[in-house]
Amino acid sequence: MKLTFPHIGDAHLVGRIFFSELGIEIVTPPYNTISKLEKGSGVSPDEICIPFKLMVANLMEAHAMGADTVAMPATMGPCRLGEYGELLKSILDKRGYKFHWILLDSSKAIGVRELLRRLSYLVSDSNKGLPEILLALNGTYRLIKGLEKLEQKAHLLVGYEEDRGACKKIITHCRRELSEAGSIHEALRSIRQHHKRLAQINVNRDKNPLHLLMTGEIYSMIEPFANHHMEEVLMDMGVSFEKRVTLGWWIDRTIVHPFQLKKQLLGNRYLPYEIGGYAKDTIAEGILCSRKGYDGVIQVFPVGCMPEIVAKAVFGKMMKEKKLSVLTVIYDEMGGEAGYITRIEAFVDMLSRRKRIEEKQKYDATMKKNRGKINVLPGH
Amino acid sequence: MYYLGIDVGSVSTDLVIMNEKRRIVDQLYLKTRGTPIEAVKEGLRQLGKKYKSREIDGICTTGSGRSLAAAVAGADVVKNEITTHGVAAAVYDPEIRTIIEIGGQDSKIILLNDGVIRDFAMNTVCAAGTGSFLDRQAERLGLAVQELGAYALRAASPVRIAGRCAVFAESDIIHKQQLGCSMEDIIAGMSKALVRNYLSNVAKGKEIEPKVCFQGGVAANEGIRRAFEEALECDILVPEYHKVMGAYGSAVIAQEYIEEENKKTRFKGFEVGHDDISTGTFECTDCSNHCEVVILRSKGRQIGCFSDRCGKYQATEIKLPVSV
Repeated sequence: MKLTFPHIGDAHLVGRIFFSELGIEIVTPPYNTISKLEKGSGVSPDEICIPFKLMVANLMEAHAMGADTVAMPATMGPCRLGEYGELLKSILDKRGYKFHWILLDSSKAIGVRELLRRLSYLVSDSNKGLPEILLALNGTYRLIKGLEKLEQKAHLLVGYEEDRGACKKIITHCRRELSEAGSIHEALRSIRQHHKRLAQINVNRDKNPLHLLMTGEIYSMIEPFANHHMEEVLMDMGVSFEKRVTLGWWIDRTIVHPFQLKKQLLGNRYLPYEIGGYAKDTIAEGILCSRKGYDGVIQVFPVGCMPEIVAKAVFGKMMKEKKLSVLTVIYDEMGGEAGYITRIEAFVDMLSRRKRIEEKQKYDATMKKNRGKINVLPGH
Repeated sequence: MYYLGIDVGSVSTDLVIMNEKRRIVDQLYLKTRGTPIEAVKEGLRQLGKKYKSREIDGICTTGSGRSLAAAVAGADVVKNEITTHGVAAAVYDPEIRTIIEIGGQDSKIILLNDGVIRDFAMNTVCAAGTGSFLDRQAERLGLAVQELGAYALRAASPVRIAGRCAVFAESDIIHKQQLGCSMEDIIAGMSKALVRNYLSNVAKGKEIEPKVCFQGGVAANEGIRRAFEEALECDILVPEYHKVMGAYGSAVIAQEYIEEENKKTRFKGFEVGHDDISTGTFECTDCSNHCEVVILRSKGRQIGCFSDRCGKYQATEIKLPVSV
């Protein structure tokens, strides 16, 4: 069995480490590029979103590289009425790409027994026993969480760094080391080292950078190609930002403790119903953003993503009621980046200008209040 | 002493020379025709006949080709077009609260509050309802794009055209033509459709407060302006230099920057207009990003480099792969 799965963010890094720990051979398709996207859109339905087209292209390339089994977290339900994995399968089957499919739907949709059966097939080639598999799973989970924690810290520190590009360099370096790591322990050690390195960079605490929240459709958030490397664009601009929708977040939400996270979503008066996808989560993030005093929200999604379109409309209302600033960036197959960068740049420009003025007003107000006391300095 | 603003858009390349009192002394409106470098050079050549390079104190570039223009001319500041349009309108008339800007490829709405941008929105992925759509329709009807406005004003009873999508609009127009509707009515209907599309798409959920200012290339179209006035039920101001507001705003930003930072300009001089500038593209294979790197060269030296994510081609001249 030669296993493969479509690209989504850093999944190929941790996936490779996990499966090699179990002794299962794995094929990583080449990274997403414009030419791969063209290949994918050639066989996909025209109206379908970018994530689908990219995934088709990934699997076609993996087939050419000798993969014969696909593991696909389909999570029956949220998107395209759960037909996502099935549609992929049917399109590739018709084109003669013969795979053995392991569609990992949620247990609610297919039953616990069926899910376990599919999972056991996934590791059937491994000569390791159950305890070792569970150990490896635990290690991989820690790996994902550790990497994400590192990224999260770097995204926040980037606004304060003295040497431009220090944070970005550490993340890039960490990714490179992970792609070469031979075992989970080695990978975990590398992450720990990079955490230390990140703690040592020069920071200027007097800076007051913008603080943004990045949210939106899950694939576009996690896979950098699908959002034209927006994280790097923001880091280059020296903006502190947060991105909660990650691989680890998804695992927590669907597998580890689905109820705990669901609870946070209750009491959302803007969108009380589940409408599919992660629209409700996006709105919940927006509410959180206005509550915690972020400067703005950037919402990202591919053309035609219904749940996020609804979320966008809700944001319109929230912008008025909660004085929230939202920039919606919608991605499609266009390769040119000038338009996207213009919008992000203008958004950052507007927010930082506004922030400067607000600060000046605050400063002026305190000066006015203290006008009488200005000479009463210690020693006078 | 003058400041230079260059706005390289998809359709036009505009240059503005502004004096220190923020008055426009000279302006150029050139067609980009898909060759932004040539357009910038042409503009510099034309201005070079009237002005001396040392008279320029600062320069700022804007528009979708801003980084290219910055590399060619040696800009002090590079700013996005939303900020420059906002600044231009705020300097032109501090009472302006809403800016409607429709250019060749994109349309935007900018809301100002005391001369500071409060909110903005831009068309998303589709260019329906922008200048290029009008261009295309004018061409199809056998008219010059400048004539559309006059035709629209003569209309007796505008027909209804679907404005949601440029493709739908076009087939609707053809259909109405075949029914025998007059050219005037169709063009007026098209203007209305464009305005409707703008208000329900770009300006959706935004509160449009007077004074409203209409700028960008499409503002020259009297018919669209009239349609906006009817839809918004208020007067719409079209500045005298509406076509070059982006360039004007960038000149203002150049002045602000030079005066605040007390710097000398990096302007390379109008002579650049006569230089031979060549571009080369290659796919970098050093990492997984596979960036398509564009390198700009003049007189055998690298003057600019774009689309390299890691930024390693930026600083100095380096040896390129053989395939270039």
